[in-house]
Amino acid sequence: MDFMRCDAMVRRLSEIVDGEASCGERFGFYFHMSICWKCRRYMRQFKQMRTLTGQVQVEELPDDFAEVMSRVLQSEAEGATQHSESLLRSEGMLIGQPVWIKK
Amino acid sequence: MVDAGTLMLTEETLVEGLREGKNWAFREVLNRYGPALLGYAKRLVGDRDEAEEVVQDAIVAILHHIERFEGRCSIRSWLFRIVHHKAIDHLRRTSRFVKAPDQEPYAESFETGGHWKDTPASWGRNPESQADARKMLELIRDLIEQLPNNYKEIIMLREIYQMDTQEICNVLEVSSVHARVMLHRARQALYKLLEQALQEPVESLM
Ligand SMILES: [Zn+2]
Repeated sequence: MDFMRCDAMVRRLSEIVDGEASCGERFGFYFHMSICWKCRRYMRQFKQMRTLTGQVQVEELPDDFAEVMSRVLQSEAEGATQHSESLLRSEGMLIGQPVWIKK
Repeated sequence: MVDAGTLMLTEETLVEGLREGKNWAFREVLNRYGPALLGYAKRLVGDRDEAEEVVQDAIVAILHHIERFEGRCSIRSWLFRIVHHKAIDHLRRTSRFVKAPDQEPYAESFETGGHWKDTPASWGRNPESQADARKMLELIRDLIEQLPNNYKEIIMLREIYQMDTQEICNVLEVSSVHARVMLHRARQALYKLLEQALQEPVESLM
């Protein structure tokens, strides 16, 4: 990594902020940051974006998702019983009749 | 009884429960991984109903094949991998799969000597201000949708679901070098979108 080049710094920024860079690389990187305000600004905003992205909410499951899933599994099992019960048995689906496929 | 202890459930116990067809194990898989999988699928396929189907398929697949689960990766990685495949299949079938160009998003921002051509724009936002942070958060959430599929995926896996590089490799079935390069390009692409959006007049952000 050429510590005098901004493009080299920007290319390695993720490894630095994720803590995946070596000691030597970190040293060179922060040396560059101390003398280059453009890269410093880019890094600051890059980190800010990364932190905010981590706060994006995950989805909530619909209330009836478990019931819907149970029905899906049940109809799968029923449909398959007619067609290829032995195949499902070999895949472990019907071994011991999983309770989730019962009503 | 069992429900009270589900927080303490280890992965081994969970797999054991699934193998024995226990209802609590099935519920626990839904509680533990369902919302994350649904959010992931929804951002990939773009539609809530289709996403629910993709997640259902993934869970059915894991129940079908639980006997073959060897524990080399986690249940979570396994589920995400199945959703990844199903979502990509789905997008390909409906011709909506968009892959990122094979070029660094910032390749053209530097002179031959490696210095910035133009000064990176200041976002003019104060990260300490709650209003600014909330506005940017909403913006980021919307901009993630605009990323090419492979960038969108890796951003979600790392930033939203907090997976380390190894787990990302397990989900996407790529090498760690590839995952790191892709993650960085994805972040840069998102940065670029954010930069453009923030340069627009403030009214449009309201
Ligand atoms: Zn620089």
